Amino acid sequence: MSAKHNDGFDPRRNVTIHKDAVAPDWDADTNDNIPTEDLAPLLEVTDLSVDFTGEKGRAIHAVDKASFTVYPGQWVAIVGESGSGKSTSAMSVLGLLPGTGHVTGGSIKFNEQELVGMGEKDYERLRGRYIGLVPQDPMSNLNPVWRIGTQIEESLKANHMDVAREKRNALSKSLQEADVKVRRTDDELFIGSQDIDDLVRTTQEALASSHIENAQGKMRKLRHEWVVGSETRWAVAQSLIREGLDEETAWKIAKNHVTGSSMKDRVAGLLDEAGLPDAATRARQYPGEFSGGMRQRALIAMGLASRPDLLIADEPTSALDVTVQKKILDHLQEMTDTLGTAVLFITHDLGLAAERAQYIVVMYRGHVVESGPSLEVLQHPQHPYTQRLVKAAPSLASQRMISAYEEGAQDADAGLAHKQKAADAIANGQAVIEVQHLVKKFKLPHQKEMFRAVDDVSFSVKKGMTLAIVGESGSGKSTVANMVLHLLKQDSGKILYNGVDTSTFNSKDLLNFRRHVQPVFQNPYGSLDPMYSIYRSIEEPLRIHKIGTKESRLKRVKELLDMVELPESVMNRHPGELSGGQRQRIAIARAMALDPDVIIADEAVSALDVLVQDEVLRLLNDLQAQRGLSYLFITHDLAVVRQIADEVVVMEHGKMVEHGTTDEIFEHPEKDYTRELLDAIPGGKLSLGVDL
Amino acid sequence: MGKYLLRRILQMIPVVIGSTLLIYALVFLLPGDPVVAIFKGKPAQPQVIAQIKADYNLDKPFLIQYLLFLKNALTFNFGKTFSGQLVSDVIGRAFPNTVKLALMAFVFEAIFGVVFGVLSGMNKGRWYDSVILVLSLLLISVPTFVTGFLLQYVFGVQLAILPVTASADPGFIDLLMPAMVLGSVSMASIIRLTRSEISANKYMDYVRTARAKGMSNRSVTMRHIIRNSMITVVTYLGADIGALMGGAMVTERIFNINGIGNVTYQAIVRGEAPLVVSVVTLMVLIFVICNLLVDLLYVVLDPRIRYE
Repeated sequence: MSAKHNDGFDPRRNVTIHKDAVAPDWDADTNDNIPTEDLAPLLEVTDLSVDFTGEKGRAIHAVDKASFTVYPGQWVAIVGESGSGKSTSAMSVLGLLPGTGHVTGGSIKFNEQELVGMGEKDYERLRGRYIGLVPQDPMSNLNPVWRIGTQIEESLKANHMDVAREKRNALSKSLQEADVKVRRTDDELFIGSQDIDDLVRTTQEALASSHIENAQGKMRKLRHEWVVGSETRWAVAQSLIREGLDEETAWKIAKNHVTGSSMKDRVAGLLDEAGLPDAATRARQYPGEFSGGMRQRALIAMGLASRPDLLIADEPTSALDVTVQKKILDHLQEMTDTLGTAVLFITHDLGLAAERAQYIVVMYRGHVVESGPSLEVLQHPQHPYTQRLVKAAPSLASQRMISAYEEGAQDADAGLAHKQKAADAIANGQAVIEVQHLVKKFKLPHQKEMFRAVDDVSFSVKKGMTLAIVGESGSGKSTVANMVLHLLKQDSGKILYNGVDTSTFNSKDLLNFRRHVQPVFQNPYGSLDPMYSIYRSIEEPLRIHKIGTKESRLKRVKELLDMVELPESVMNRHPGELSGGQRQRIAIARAMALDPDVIIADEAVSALDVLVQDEVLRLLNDLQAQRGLSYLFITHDLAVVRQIADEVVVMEHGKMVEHGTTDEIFEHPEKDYTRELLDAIPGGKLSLGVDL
Repeated sequence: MGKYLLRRILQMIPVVIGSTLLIYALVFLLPGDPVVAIFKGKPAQPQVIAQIKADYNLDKPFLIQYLLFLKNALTFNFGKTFSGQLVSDVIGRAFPNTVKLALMAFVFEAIFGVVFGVLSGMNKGRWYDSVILVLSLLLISVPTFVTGFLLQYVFGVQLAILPVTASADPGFIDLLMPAMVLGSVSMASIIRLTRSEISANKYMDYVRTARAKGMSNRSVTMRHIIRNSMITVVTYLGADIGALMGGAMVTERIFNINGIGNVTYQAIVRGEAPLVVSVVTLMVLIFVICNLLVDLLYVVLDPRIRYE
């Protein structure tokens, strides 16, 4: 840590509790990091206001007088929908506001040092070393042209965490100061790749000669613990003492055989800490060779590389599958707990926030509307916005939505009535879409064997019901949707529409089929032509199918807009002028234009904010009740499934793992995989708001 | 990768055959009899004309002429010019000058194009960005012979600091002004390309992440903004080497440089098919090889690209 004193910047200079005064043994003692009342706050944001300069110099207030505090070692979550100013607040702490953003008022104190108005050079010293960042989108946050290892090395080098240099600095310092503690320099020495073999052999010998019981088992444990580039000399000594060696021998082994790692070892160690297997090889790969989850792990390793006191995690997992999300967050939590790092966790998911953070800050349109201990906020939300958020949070919902249009919906046991109806329909109902033993194979490069993306999948969508296909990305669920939509040809198996095999369709039948089976896709930004007006987008299917005159089509578009609860005035606007939720409504209106029987929704609500998602789901649900539509719902989000589906198909690696009614799946999951998916629902086990 | 390389090299064969055939046909179809033109309108004995025609295979049908040329070319025998010199000698004398000129132009456009482009892109909206932008637009829109004559007049005639035309065996000073003229248009394009790449890459998420790591502005700019912008710029530059060699004709004429462009011009005027086709074949080869090298360079620069 000597480098940090040399660079002339020390945000801790006024702090009474000096973490560095104690040996910085990150791995062992977390006691002094547990937040207590008398501890000084690590980050104190008071009345922060951030403006963006819009067109014609008009100021847009992105954050307005926001205040929140993070104590050392604490997880604080900022919750809010997109545009609420949560990311903007976090980025102003790092001094990395995008574009025209600038702080117009308030203060940001980090370890009692004011950050607002600080120079760029001072920020450069602060970033990485004191405040780390795990950004939102793992796909765009790694530079595609540099190896993963190189990019992690950059964060070590930028903060002078170069192990070799650190050693030199410490040595020169120990020559100047007599009272330098030996342990400090030891702590910067990690096991090197050249050390490990000798270390293991000597330890084996030592364990054998001291006649310790179960020496082999202990050795295995140690071998697993000792990760090159990650374990320090001090930690090695401690683990040896723990396994029963006397202190003198333990320190002797540690001193002789932990001689410091190279930069490469350290990078591999960091990646290993972030939960990436086979880290040394992985470090030499490019981001393009990594999956989303692996990239996010690399970004976590990067954010924590220089051991910051505060980590800003900006929706670190919202681009990932729920199961991956759970694994990564579990790991991050474990790491920050052992390192004593405080985390400012930005998320739109209240359930996730409540599950992970001790303290929640709710932001709405730039204001902090509510803040307090997680369970307190969740169970007794005070502000109307928080109350809506709690209500809408899919992860907290416990049952299917019941449309107000449904018969008997006003009854107290409408849910029960719907269940009865659904059970009937599933048992005896008429199948609109029936899929039998569907198989789709793809050719993968460099591989002789064909990859079975969809492997023997069968199910049927009953009239007026919703069937959801759930699975992680790569499970083949979207491939099934594309085959049902007749956009992709199956290799074997049958798809029946109203009892007729779709593969026998001629072009006229196909047109008719397309008219009655309509898709709604995931990305409302990509599925609407940006050059088309909203009117033209919705009218297009009518025009293609030559339905009605110009006047009747106009009338129909107006009706459709009314149906999706949008004003007629949006007709002349373009997709770029609408919000994500509005665009998805337009996409639904377009799908509804031809009065379809079936709507195939491929992750139709995944890209939307919680409240908007809730609105869109309700809209879909109402339309179903009014028009007897059947839905095939493709999603990775089991929380959404619970809200909308009657029947569930769980897919893994192209195979159908489980198939049953929603209640069966949620209450009595039979397969481990399904249980894993259910466990991964954030906040799934938290109790609902009590005051609602 | 090896397979890819082999395929690319095999692809060069039809490209070379096709382009030479096309050029041969074009020269063949030129109006007027080249042999008659040798005598500059003076009457000549029919036997002499017939003899010359036989010597140069001009009496044979087009396709036979072409195939004979191809057969000789494969054995590196490119024939003789009408004045009796070996085509290989003529090219051998002119080619080094063109290479020198093209390389100088290349270095000029690469250095100034990238430097001004980065300067402009990193400081979008500043006054010098606007100046650079206007000047580059001017260079793109004004044809080379105008810039050529202008520079020749200002630096050669008025200020007399650089030679007006090149000597028979041109050196660095001789070629300085021609190289600048030749490289100016591409330089302007590179400025604009670099500028747009830099200003797009500046806002990439990974650039923000790099800053969040605590990297200095300097290293972020070098390693993440400029490095990534160079992928397209270097590709453009590579493809431009071929264009510079082929495009030197105008510049070589203006500054009277004994280069390939000048030789081609003379040969076309005289209707000397073997010379024209030999030069063009050489150009085509250079072009194709440059393009192949660029594609290979692309793999090095952008690890996302993998050729199968």
